[in-house]
Amino acid sequence: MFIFHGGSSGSSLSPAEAQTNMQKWFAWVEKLQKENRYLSGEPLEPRGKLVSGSKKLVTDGPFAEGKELVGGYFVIHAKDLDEAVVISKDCPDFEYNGKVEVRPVMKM
Amino acid sequence: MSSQNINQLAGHLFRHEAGRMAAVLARLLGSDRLQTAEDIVQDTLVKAMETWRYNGVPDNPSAWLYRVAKNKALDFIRSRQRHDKIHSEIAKEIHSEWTLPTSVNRMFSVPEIEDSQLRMMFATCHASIPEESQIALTLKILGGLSIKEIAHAFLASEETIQKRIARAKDRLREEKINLELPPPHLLADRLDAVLKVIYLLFSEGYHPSESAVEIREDLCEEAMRLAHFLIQNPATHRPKVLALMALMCLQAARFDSRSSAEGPITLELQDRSRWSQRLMNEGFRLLEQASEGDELSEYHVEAAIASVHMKAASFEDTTGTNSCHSTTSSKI
Repeated sequence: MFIFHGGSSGSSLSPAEAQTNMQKWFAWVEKLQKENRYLSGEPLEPRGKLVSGSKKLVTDGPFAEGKELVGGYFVIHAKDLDEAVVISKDCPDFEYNGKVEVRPVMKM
Repeated sequence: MSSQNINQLAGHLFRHEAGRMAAVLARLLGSDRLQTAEDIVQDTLVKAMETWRYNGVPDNPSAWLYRVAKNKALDFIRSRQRHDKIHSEIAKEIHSEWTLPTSVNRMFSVPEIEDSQLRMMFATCHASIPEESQIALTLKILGGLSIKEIAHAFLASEETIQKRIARAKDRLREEKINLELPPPHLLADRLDAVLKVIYLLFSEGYHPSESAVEIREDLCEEAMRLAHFLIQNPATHRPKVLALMALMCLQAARFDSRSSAEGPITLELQDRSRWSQRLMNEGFRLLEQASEGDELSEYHVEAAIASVHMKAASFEDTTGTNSCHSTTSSKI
């Protein structure tokens, strides 16, 4: 699973830059689909709640700074973590200081 | 998601929609809230960017953007109403919840968008704003270019462009320049100012300079797009506007043939087969149309000179070449 933190949505891109960035994402997803790697992906809204403690205390999100905020995730096929890391390097958001958290989904 | 997604966003969808939305939002919120209008546009594009990359481009991307922008505008208006009045031509309508959603919707209809863009052009090219600030603000608001991009195109520092834009915005506020079409008795003069900005914008893009070719082409394209708004509106469909557009078409037809790795190529040496036939014909047609009245502007003269050069099969065939050596720019 790729969890995307910050990046292009946290920086103020010009309309042209935003469009170019998005086109790179489309190209990336298309490549992953062609290689039969892409399983699913969803954006996350920049809001939410955090429920915690024995008192089930509810606090308002988001839970990170704009530049660290999780924007969404992809679930992809990879043979192991190392391969997934290689694939993640195609993410177009590194030029905007984006981060990709690569986590293996546990197999039961 | 398929390759269709990528094609759907071909061209300058975001840039052009940014210009459209900024014009409409500023009209809704008043010219003293230009910054808010720009912020809403920015948030809208960010939302699109965040969502589309996972879900693909919606069937009608423009409508999607307008819906988001409308909702953000409604939120802003509703949160402000009580304590902070909005000064715009439709202030009355938007101050009542009965008419608010309808009028916001109406403003995002195609004819109103076009009208808003035209009004915005007259505002950003207002005579009380210094000329260089007029150009910068026009590119920023209507062209959807960032300060960095404008600075790059004009080989100026971002700080300089930032200052020019800030000054333009101050003037809009101080002079209470409304987003409206000038009354008939002022239209001719105000239109001259708009045409001048378009002309300067085009010239800046057309002259061979240090900045990248794509940026220069963008400026030319933007100038032609602005002129197109004027031609489409009956109030500003004037011979002078047609003549300027004719001039730009004729010059743009030669865009590809003017430069080589070694530098600019002058008219004499250009490969005429590389000139765009489509733009040339459009230029000739517009010039003919522009000459139907008895108005003669500097744009008529320049377009006529360009057309003489381009109708000839070779440079030597150009009639009266000796008397046509007006400016170097017409030769490049």
